Amino acid sequence: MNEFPKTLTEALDNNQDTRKTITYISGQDKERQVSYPALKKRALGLLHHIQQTGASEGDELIIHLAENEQFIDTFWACQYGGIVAVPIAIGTSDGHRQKVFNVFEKLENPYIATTIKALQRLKVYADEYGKESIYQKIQQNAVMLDRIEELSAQGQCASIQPEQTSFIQFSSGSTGDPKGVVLTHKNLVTNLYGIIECSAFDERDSFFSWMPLTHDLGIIGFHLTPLFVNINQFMMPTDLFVRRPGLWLEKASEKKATILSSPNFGYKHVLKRFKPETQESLDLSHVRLIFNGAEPISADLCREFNAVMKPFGLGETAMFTVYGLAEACLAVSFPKLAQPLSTLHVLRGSIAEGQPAEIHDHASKQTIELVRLGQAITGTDIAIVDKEGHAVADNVVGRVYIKGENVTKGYYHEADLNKKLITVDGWLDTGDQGLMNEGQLVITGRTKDLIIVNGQNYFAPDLESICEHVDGIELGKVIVCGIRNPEEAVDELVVFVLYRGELEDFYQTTIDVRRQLNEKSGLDVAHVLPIKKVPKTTSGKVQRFALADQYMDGEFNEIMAALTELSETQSTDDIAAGSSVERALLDICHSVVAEQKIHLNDNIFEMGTSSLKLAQIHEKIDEMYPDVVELTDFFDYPTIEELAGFIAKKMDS
Amino acid sequence: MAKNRQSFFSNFYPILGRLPFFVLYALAYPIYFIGYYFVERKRNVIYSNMENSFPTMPKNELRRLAKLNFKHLVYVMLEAIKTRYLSEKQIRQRIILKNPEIIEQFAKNKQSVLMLTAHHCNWEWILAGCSLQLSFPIDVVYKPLHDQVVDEYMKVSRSRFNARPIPNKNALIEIMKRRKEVRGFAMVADQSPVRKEEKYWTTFLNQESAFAVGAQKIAQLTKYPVIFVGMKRLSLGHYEVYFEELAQPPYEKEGYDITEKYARASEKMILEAPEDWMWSNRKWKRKRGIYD
Repeated sequence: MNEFPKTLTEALDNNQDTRKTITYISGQDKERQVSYPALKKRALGLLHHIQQTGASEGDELIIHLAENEQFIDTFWACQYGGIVAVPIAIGTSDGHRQKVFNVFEKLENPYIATTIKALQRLKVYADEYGKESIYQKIQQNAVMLDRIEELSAQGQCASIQPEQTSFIQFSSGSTGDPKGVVLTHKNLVTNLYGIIECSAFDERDSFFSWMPLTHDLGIIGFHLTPLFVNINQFMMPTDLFVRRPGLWLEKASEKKATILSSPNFGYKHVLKRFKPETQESLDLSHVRLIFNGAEPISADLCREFNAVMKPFGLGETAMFTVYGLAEACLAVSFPKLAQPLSTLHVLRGSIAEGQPAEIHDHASKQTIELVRLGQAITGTDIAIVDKEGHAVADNVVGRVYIKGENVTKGYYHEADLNKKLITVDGWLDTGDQGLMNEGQLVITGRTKDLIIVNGQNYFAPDLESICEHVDGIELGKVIVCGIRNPEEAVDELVVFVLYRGELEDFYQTTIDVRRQLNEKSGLDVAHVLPIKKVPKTTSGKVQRFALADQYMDGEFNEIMAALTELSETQSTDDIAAGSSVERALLDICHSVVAEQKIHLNDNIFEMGTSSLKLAQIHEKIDEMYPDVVELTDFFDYPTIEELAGFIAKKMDS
Repeated sequence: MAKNRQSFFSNFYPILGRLPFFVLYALAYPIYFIGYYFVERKRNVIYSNMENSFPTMPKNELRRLAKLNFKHLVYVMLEAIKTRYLSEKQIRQRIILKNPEIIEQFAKNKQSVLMLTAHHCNWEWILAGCSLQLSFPIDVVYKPLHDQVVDEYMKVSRSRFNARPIPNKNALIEIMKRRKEVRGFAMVADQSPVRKEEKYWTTFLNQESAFAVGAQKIAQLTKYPVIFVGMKRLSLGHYEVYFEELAQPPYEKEGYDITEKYARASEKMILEAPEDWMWSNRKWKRKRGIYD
């Protein structure tokens, strides 16, 4: 590691080749390039503006920006100024804004880099939830990037040391009491070294990503990694990927990118909209690795993706199934290069902590297929331990512990939690459950109340407290679980509600819960199911896994069928309630109209929508559902709810 | 509160509008003299805009042009006040349509059109001239004025001959509501867009300039043909209106090609008679942001 940079700034300082660039793609024919030397110059210019607001070394700067280009410049301005970067996603739900306020209050001396539009959204939230005084502070300490017209003056650089905090990664779903993973330059550099060595990246590679930069896979995996290798990188906005998933592969093909990535749900999203007959020029033969991580991996989905993309040149060994977490910066284990997907079949009932998993040769109804995730990368150690912290034998299920210079020293201002999660000899409890098989890590489940949906982490208690606001639901009588749907190959959100009445009367609760969660957290709920009793341990702790197991064993199938039947008798509007189409439309409207909060039954023409905004809303809907909605349809279906129903119906037909 | 602001002078608009042309033009010179020599801020905006657009033009020539421009602006202002009281005969005499067949062909095919113009010569009279002399009614998209009295006054002027003014904020919605009628939708599209709105940057009159993209978006969504409506001053109070086809559907879903064509057509018209454009408009007050 002699010549490897010791800090992030050292890495960017080393990149003097102006031909090596970041390309920001914002549409089919819209892109901008910034070379690495130009990035440094811009970062220093931006640092000047940040310092003008009063921020100095050691202060924190929340990066609350939607545009990748603005985000990256701000991130580097922080690095050069010794200001701790705190990325927080813009998002469209109240949960996202609540997180900004909660994090702002938690930080010692926070500033915020944002835009006029995003700040407006925070104001709308503050007005609604009585947080005006915090909003005033946020406004006072805000650097507005869309007001900056020149970057000629340079900011004051700090002398960056490896032990200094580079950024704090706040867990994506921790809305109630956000937990920030503190990452130093040394943590990051160690992990980047391991990532680069174990993936054998070199000057022939180029990276292409749609991952959000607020996610470790986006910022570390697909921005810092290529920057440390000094090679080209391409980024497209996540919302563009969501609307036009095909553009990801089309652009990667056009740019001859060799390294791609996506969590499980991204592959599914691509396949759902992929039309091979319209992809004559797609060429994926340059792709050397497609990282698959950030959430549980479905072997079936990997195989399906490989099969669909094979005619377009995607190699059989390109899919790279990996394991990592924010507490390790990003990466923990990688498989060996140029190996096909490797899996094992385990008897479902044998997966229990401290027990050896029963491995079968073939798949059966009683087995589940788990993906091997490789070995610990350079700089990281993995241990599978029992409840007492003792290492267990191969194939025995235990808690996944990690250790290394890349592993965080702890969560921000959480001394008690840190003591609980990090042992005296430096091992960190990941909260995941797993086993070692043939020298490779296999993740079998989770031990903490963490739900991962679409690559984002959510804490079950946070989601449950959101449900509490629905009429007739009390805290402690609702349980939220993330359950793998083997057919859909994704984790689904299932909400169980303590209810002892008639099923017909429960139907309205299912709609209300979906809406509430959808509006407040941006999540789609797969099922809302009534339960007669909340399973608890002897110490009174809710047993989420017991409900998940009952669900997996089909114990709720009859109820689900009855609820489906009930929903079919309702109007189209109700069918669409809480649907992904509604969510998508709400997201689109929120992204365009910043001035006010938008609800499902708001009239599109009455939500402060100017002509330009209406045009933008239509443009985004058309990107997501090509040629489904004409502008004139807005007149026939003027509310989001009605329009979603119309789209859903049209898509079905 | 700002929207209800009104000036003392605005109450005299109906009186001014009834005055004959020779009296109005006689009033123009003192207004110009006071305005040009005593309202320094406006004069400076005009001069500095011209200086940046014509960097090689000698200073005395720039000063001459700025004075002429200011004088023309006063004429236009008084003519605009007069619009409400112009007779049909006066309109036909003073506003000549050069090639109406360019735009009439669409109306014959029951096709509405978007008409884009600029703040050049007398843009208020373009509307009056076209509304009277074209075979279909024209709705003008306008930005409501802060001065409510003037705004109401102008709305009446702009409503003559079946025209229906549309506030810019609701333009698309109103245009869509009228989609079953054959109409022309007129927009003056050369002003600087507001900061937080999407904009298109291009070099215009030798300066990096932002254009609003509303017209482009409306064209893409309505799939209406886009016509540039230009104007030339023939003599004091007499103008010629000409039409140029800018774009016809199908349009690309992305891009700003119509806005670019509009910028080029406007620029050409302005360069032919720079004294007639509204240089007092602070088109370049905002520089391109780093992330625009």
